[in-house]
Amino acid sequence: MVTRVPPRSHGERRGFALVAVLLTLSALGLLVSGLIYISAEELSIARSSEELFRTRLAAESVIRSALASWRTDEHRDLPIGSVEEVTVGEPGAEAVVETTLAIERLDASRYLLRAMATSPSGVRSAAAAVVRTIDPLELWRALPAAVTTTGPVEIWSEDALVGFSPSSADTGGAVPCQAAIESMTAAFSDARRPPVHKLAEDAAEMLRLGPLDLAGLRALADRIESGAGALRSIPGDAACATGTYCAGQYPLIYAPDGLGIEGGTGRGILAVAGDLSLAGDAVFHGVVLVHGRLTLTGQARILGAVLVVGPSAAVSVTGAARVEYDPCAVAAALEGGRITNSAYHPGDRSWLPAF
Amino acid sequence: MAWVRVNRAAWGSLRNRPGVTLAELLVVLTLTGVLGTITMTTIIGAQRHVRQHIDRVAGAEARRVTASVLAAELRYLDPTTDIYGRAVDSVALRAYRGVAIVCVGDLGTVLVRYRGLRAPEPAKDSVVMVGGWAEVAGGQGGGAVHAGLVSPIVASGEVRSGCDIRAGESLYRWTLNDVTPPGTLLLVFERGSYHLQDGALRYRRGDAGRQPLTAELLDDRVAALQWAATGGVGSDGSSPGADPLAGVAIVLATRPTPAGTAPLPRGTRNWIRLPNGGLW
Repeated sequence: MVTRVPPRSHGERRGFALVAVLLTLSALGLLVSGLIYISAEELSIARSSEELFRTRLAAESVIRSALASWRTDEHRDLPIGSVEEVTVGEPGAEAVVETTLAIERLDASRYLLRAMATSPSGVRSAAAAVVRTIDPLELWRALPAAVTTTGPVEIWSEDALVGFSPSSADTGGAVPCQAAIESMTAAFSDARRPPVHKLAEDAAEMLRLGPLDLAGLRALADRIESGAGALRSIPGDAACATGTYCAGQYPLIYAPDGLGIEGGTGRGILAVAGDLSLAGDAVFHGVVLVHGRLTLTGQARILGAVLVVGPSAAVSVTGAARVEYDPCAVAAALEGGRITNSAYHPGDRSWLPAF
Repeated sequence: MAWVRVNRAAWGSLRNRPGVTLAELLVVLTLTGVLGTITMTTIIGAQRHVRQHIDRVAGAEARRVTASVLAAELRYLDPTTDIYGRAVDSVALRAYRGVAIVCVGDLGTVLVRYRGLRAPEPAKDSVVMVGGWAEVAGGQGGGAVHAGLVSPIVASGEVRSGCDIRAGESLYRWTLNDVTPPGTLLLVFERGSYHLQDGALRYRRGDAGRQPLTAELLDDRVAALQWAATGGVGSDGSSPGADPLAGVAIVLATRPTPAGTAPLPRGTRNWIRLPNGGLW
C-alpha cells in the first residue's frame, strides 16, 4: 500500500534561491555603485585638472592680451598707487571663463597687471606681470637744445639755430603746447630758453634716446627707410602734410644706412644710423637722432630737437636751412609715438606669482 | 522523542516516494556549482575592477597633485635667481608665499599691502625686491629700488590702518633692513626644495625633514624633472648648460601595484614653460 503525501502549498515550500539571488544582486549592486563612485571621482579629478589649466591659461592670456594692446597714454593719468579695473572680453559675449584685469600704477614708469580667471564651477587662477614703460621725461633729458652733439657745428647764419620756438599750431595736437613747455621745464628745471647748441653729455659716443640704443630704436621702428627721397606724409591724414600737429600717428622712422631727404614733410622721431642730409624744402617736425653727420641745405628745416653723436658726428646748417627748438613738436613726437606708449620688459623679471 | 517520531514519519513517506533522488541531487549540486562559480567569478572580477579603479584614481590624484604643485611653484620663478639647484629628481628654490606692495615707508619700518597663501612669518620668510630699472622706479619714491635684493623680514605685525587696502589684502607693518620706497614690489618667499623620491612628491623647508605631499604611488624609475634651456631641450634632465632655463617637463607614472591589480601603470608628461626665462 502506498501512502501519498499531500503536496505542500507554495507558501510552505522551503528554498534559498530567492535569497541567494537577492544577495548576489546586492553584492553586484554594491560593486557597481563603487565603480560609479570611483569613476565619478576620476571624472572629478580630470575636470578639476582641466578647469585649473583652463583658468590658468585664461588668466595668462588676459595679461598677454593687455601687453599686446598696451598704450601707456591710456593709463598715464592713473595716480601712483591707484588701481584701474579693465573689462576683458566682448561685452555681452558668453564667456566660459570669467576674467578680470586690474592695472595698478606702482610708480612713474611701472605698472602691475593682475588677472583673475574664474570657471563656472568656481576654480580660480591668477596671473600677474610687471610692465615697464618709458616716461617722456627720460627722453626729454637727451634733448636739451636745438642741436646736441659730440662733434663740430657749422652754421652760415645766426638764424640757422633757434633756441626756443614753440609752435603756435598746437590746436588738435596730441599734446597741448603749454603742457609740452611745462614738460620741458620739468625735464631741465631751468628757464624756458634752452640753448641752441649743447655738447652731448654721453661721452660713450653711442646714440641713445633714454634707455634705448640704436638696436632698441630699430626694434621699435614703425618704418625702415634707406637711400634718398622725399618725406612722405601719412596716408589719409592730409593735415599732417602741412606740418601741423595732428592727433594721429607719430612714427618712429629708422634708417640703418644713412638717409638723404630732398623734400616733403614728415614728423615723429627720425633715427639714422649713418649720415643724414635734408635739402630742398624738406621739413621735419619732431626729434632727429643721427649717428654720423647731419647736413641741412636749401630751405630744409627741423622743428623740434636734434641729437647728433658718434665718432664722425658733425652738424652743418647752410643756406636758408634752420633748426628750431620746438618743445611742442618734441612733446608730440615723444608722447604720441610708440616709444613712450609701449610696454617693456622690466629688466629683472616680468611675470610674478599671483595670489 | 517527538522529533524522532516526526522524522520517522517523514522518512517513511520519502522512502515510499517514487523518483530519482540521486539524479535530482546531482542536478541540484551541478547547477548550484555552476551558478556559484559564475557568481563568485563575477564578484571577484568586479572587486578586482574596483581595486584597479581605486589604484588608478589614487595614482591619478598623486600625479595631478604633483603636477599642479610643481607647476604652481615653478611657473613664475626667475630661473637665474630663484632656483638654487636642480636635478632629475629634485629642485631647490624660492617658494613664493605672498606679494606685498610698500605703501608707506622707506628705511626700516614700512607698511605693506600683503596678499598671500599665508601670513608672513619673520622666522622663515624673506623678501626679494622687484625693481626693474632702478633709477626710474625709485624716482618718485625718494630712493632707489635694488632689483633682486633679498632682505629678511625682521619683524612683522598686522595693523588696521595706515593705507587703503583692497579685497583679499591685509595690512602689515614690517621691519626690513633695506630701503624700500613706496611702490616697491616685494615677493615673500621661503627656501625649500621639492623631491620626487620614495614614490611621492616631498617638500622640504629649510633644514627640516621631507614631508610627503602625495600618496607613495609614483614610480621612481620614471618620475623625473627634465630641464630645458632656451638653446635646446634636455631629455635626460641633466644640466643643459649656460643658456637660461626655458622650462621643465614633469614626467610621472604610477608604479605598478605588488599584486598586479592595476592593468598598466599610467604616465603623464606636463610641460611647464618658465616665462621669466626669456623675453616676452
